[in-house]
Amino acid sequence: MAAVAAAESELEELGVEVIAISTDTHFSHWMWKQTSPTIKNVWFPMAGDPSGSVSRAYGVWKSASGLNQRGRFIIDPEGVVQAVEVLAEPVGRNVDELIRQIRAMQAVRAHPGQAAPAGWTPGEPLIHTGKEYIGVY
Amino acid sequence: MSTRKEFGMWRPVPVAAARLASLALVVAFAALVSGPSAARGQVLGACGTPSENEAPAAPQEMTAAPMSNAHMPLPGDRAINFELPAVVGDEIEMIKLSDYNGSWRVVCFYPADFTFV
Repeated sequence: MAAVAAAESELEELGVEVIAISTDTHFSHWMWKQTSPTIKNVWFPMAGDPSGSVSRAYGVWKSASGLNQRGRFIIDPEGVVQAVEVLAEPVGRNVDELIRQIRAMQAVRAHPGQAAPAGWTPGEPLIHTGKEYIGVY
Repeated sequence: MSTRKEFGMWRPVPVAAARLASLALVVAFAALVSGPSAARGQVLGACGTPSENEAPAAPQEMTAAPMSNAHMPLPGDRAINFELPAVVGDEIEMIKLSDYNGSWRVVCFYPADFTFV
């Protein structure tokens, strides 16, 4: 989350809103933000889901502990899920990959019928899809 | 008796004033625990549908069986709207996913505050 906090300007440029959710209460989030040198830079809402109802609705709640998986959902402007990533607890997410994925999603939205190939980075061309391109790649 | 004098070192406090102060504290506490601080988070309908601001018709029942996850939304599914209390900057507010309709959104679930990753 500290990495997402640090990427504020790039995410803002892409028009991305972030919401962080754990099963702690918002009181705990408040104090974490007050006391942590990295979390004090968080610019996006930190929501509390102590009942776990929202976390269960997204399939990321662990019943044995009552804590969430490290799950991340990218959602487009119409409310449709575009990407899901769930990592093992000790492994942190990569905000550069998040940004790459969002740039790819925005690019293919702007160019229907085209796709971002594996390993695509911003600035590279998209590839064409369709019957004429079967077997080309 | 209009004053308390059990402890010689304390100034006598009129009982009426003490009761008024207690009442003021109770009212202040009630105000504190209403509003976002006391609001329950809730699951709403699917984003982008007419029911996105309504709670589902059949709330989860309390049973002896452990609560379980819904199907994890995958690409192409509509995200489920929700309303939760959140720390936003220096404020505590109720936020909804649908507050950001029209924008790209990233919802990051994480295990716990004060941990390490």
